[in-house]
Amino acid sequence: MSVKVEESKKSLLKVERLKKHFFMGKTKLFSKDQQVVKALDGVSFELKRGETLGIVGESGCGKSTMGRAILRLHEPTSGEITFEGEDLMELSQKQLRQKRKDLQIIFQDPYGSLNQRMTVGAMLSEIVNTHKLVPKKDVDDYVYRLLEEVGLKQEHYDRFPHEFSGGQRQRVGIARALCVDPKLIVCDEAVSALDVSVQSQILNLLKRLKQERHLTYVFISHDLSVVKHISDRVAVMYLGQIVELAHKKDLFSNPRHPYTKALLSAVPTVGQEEKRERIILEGDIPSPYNIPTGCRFHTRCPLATDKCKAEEPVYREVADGHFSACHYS
Amino acid sequence: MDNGLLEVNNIQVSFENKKSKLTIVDGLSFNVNKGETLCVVGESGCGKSLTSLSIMGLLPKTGKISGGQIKFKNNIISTKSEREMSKIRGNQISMIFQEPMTSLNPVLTIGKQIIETVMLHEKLNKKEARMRAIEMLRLVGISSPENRVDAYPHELSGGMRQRVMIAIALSCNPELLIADEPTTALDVTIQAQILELMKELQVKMDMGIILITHDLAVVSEVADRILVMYAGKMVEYTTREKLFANPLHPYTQGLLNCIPKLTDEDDGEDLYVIKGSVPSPDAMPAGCRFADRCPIARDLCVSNPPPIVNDDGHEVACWRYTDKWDTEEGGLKNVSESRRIEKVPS
Repeated sequence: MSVKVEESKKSLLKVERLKKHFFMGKTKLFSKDQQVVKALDGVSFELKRGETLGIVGESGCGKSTMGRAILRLHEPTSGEITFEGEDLMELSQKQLRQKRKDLQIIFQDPYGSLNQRMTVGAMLSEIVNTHKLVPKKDVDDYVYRLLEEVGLKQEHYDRFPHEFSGGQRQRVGIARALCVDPKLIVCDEAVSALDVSVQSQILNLLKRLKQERHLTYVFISHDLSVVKHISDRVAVMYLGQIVELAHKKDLFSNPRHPYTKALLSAVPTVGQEEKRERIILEGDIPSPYNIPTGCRFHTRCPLATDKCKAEEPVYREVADGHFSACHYS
Repeated sequence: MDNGLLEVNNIQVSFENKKSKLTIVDGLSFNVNKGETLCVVGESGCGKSLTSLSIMGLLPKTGKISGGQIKFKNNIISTKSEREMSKIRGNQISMIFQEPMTSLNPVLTIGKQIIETVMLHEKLNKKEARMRAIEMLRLVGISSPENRVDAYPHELSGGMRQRVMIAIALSCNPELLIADEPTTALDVTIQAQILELMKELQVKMDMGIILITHDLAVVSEVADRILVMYAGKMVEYTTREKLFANPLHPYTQGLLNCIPKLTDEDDGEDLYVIKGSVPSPDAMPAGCRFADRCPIARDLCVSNPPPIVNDDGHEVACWRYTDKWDTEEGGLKNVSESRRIEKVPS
């Protein structure tokens, strides 16, 4: 028992100062300057086994880039990714491919990520065979069981992706990720394209699978209510950095960063009797080509001071397990 | 009916080819008054966008209004010719679409696109039209509109593009604005800005708005009245207060229950689930279209389409609120009695 407890406390994934810069070509023909998009600019966090970390932020904040960088689907520019004590950045492509058995991803649009010319059964069998997960004669059974586990039927084995509805397709996407029995799954906007009635089905499925298979999720979404529902801890991203990270209760009841406050106040809520004080942010997210000096948020922050314009705030622990990157939190 | 603007009466929208006829929107009635926001809510494929296209006279060639009528300021517009419609469209009724990038012309500056709209409907010269364009851009909250008027759509962010769409739609002072998922592609902070803007302009221009959305949370913030659709039919139609305080239709109740809420106390619990999925339009059930997903459906529901019950302005299409519900004919027992007890597979 004590071993188990020990095990569950251990960190599964540790990400340190992770950066992903995209180099976009030169500003002028013969100039030496290259335009750099700092999609991910120094992100650090730790993830315990069996935990769900929600990542929220607006489009272009780098949340998807981060999800992919963790799996090295986007090769990170710098930083460290430690998975079960092993440095993922050190692995060769071949070793990495083996490692992907443990790290999987579910995409927003399963239609784009499923091979349209293969039946679901053929596709899943291919994965099982490639990784030699079970003996050849058991492959079909394995796939049937998997389909059932995600709420599909055996008869779906011979169908093509286009024959499925959106929710079913997402179930196939989940089956694809589960196929290799991973330890960590990155869910990148996994329920965002679904209708609400189907969304709740998929959310429940993800929750059930997490318990049954002791999974760990990085759950990326722009929908704060969904993230709140499924996560244990939540990180808020803005322009390539985490601005606040805390246990979901702390984050939603006592947000420390002005951006989190604004984000929370902007979320429309069903059947609200009295209107909350709404903080309407001015302007749009600045372009990641041209990140503001000092605090990245100062151009839109209602509380910005001269200090914010000049000095970049340090991302630090402001309360027990509550991290924030604001001078005044 | 002084301030009545739009009246939709029992319309049907269908798609026909030689072999078959598919009725997508079936028997929908509603009306919009001046200065009022009607929200049409439903999941994808329920026919909410087709409804709006049929009001605009923009149905695809294979589709047509096969029954009922649409009246705009007491004139029937559902039978008007394309030519007559183009005078109303953009001028008196305007529309905003979900994806501003695909509905703006990428090779024209935004100024040109507004000027084009204005000059088509009003007798203004180029210079005046340009002034109007700048004024419109300022109205929708675009900073330094004198410069931005010459920008191309790709130079603007998503929120700005949506503002431009609104500027184009409002440039001829329409009396009715149809907004089809105007904020779905936008981030929450930008969504809040756009909704705020629409509300503000509505008051300024005394406009009727039809807001089409799948997002109940947005609805609860902006709607005056709400029409809930399911599989091409109206299921519930009432004011916002009534709908959120006392949703009557099992589908509406399900929808409200299955969204996670920011205000929820700690959960750990599973979300409520509406089992199954929307029926396909070529295989609509004979009875209530929601029957096979409904937790309380009875024999009656499976075989007969439900009547619309009007309880003090709260309309609901459900057998449960009729006298027949508890009679022999109603079947007395829920067909899904067993289904309810069995744990819903997630």
